[in-house]
Amino acid sequence: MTWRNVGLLLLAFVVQSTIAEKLSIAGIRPDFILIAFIYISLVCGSMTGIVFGFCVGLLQDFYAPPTQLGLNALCKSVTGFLIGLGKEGLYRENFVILAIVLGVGLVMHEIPYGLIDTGFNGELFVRNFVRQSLPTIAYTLVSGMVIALLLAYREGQFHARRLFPK
Amino acid sequence: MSRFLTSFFHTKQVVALVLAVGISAGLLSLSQQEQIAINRTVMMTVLTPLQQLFSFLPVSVDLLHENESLRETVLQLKMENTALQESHFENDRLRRLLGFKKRPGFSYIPAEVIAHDPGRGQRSVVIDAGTRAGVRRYMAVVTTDGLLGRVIEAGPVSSIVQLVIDPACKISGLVQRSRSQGSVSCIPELGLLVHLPVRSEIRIGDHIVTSGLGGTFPPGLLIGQVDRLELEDLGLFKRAFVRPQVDMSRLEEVYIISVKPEGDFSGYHLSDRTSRAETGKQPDRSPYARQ
Repeated sequence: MTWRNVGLLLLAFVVQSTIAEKLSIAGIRPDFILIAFIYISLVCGSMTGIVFGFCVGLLQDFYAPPTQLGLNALCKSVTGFLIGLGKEGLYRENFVILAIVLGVGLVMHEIPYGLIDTGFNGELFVRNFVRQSLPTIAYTLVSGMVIALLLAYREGQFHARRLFPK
Repeated sequence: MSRFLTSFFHTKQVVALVLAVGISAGLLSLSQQEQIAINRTVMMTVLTPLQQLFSFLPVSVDLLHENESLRETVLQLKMENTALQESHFENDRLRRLLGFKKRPGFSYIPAEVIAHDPGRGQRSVVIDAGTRAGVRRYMAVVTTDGLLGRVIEAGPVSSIVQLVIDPACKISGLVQRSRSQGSVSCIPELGLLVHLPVRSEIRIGDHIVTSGLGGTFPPGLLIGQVDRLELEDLGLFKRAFVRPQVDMSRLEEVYIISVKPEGDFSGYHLSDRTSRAETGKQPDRSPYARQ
């Protein structure tokens, strides 16, 4: 399972650095790494969410301009932990619930990210959140659900349980 | 309630979360210089070797399209090259007849920009080629667009490149069209400027290239294009505002100019005095001097 998750995240990295740019609309791109990471946290639970979130976030931090080292790692660790809590309690085999979990995960990631990135400047945070984060969340949510529906499609029907291995 | 919390938040998870948050917060609280140092160390010791290991993998889905367009460019350049070679041979013959020295040939050491240095006000970058690759201090660095700067420190596997927009970098340049010579330098609040005698022939849109005087930069490297002209205070000199040809904010691949074994750029030195005027420092051995 671990190697499968690593492979999935590597694939997300490749897709993010190649295809995502082509899909950008007015500079807004879907975040495939976050989709893959939220999915892994939901499937494997909090512990995996924290470990993968920290490692993936740190890797992203090293590739970003070195001014906020640790920001992605912090936000993704917390998001992974919180999303992972839904492994046991949530009824995951429903697309509406999956969409809600993905949406909540994206918001949970973007809010602390935006706050720290703007130095807790409320006005700047709100402006960036409305202009950049919200469109990114919406686009990522739609992209994530399209991918989920494509993977869950079989014989003319959509089966959400296909997304979750036993 | 406590039993509920215990079952909900396992101890291992809480420890892992606290550790992850603690390390992240610790990294975030470091000063910018420290963050850059860590970033650079990890990039150079861990990520760069890993990237090199996987560099055989295609990185772009547009590879086929890019390949096609590059083939077209290669064809065009080959045709252009044939014509230029003809001119080159003719030029060589004429130079021999007139008793000039033979011009040196250059080779290029490719490198990638691995770090910018905000501590120096974006006036230098770090590249992943050093003395092991043949890089030496004061070698000129270019991109496919034009002159980028020169190497000011060469380590075994990486080097620091001083950009042309660094006020400490003085270049002897000339107007490509009229061959008027001037000194190119950057003033922080004004940008890149070329100072010329008042009677020099220069127009907006003219290209400024290196003159080759001083031995630091080979002649003919494109520095930028003239944007605006004005007279200096006493009216004895005019200055042209130059827009650098290279976009300094998007630096990826660069090339360090090295002399081919049969070449000898030292023939271009006028004197040590010129070299000192150009670099603003005590004369150092030119990287292009004969070994």
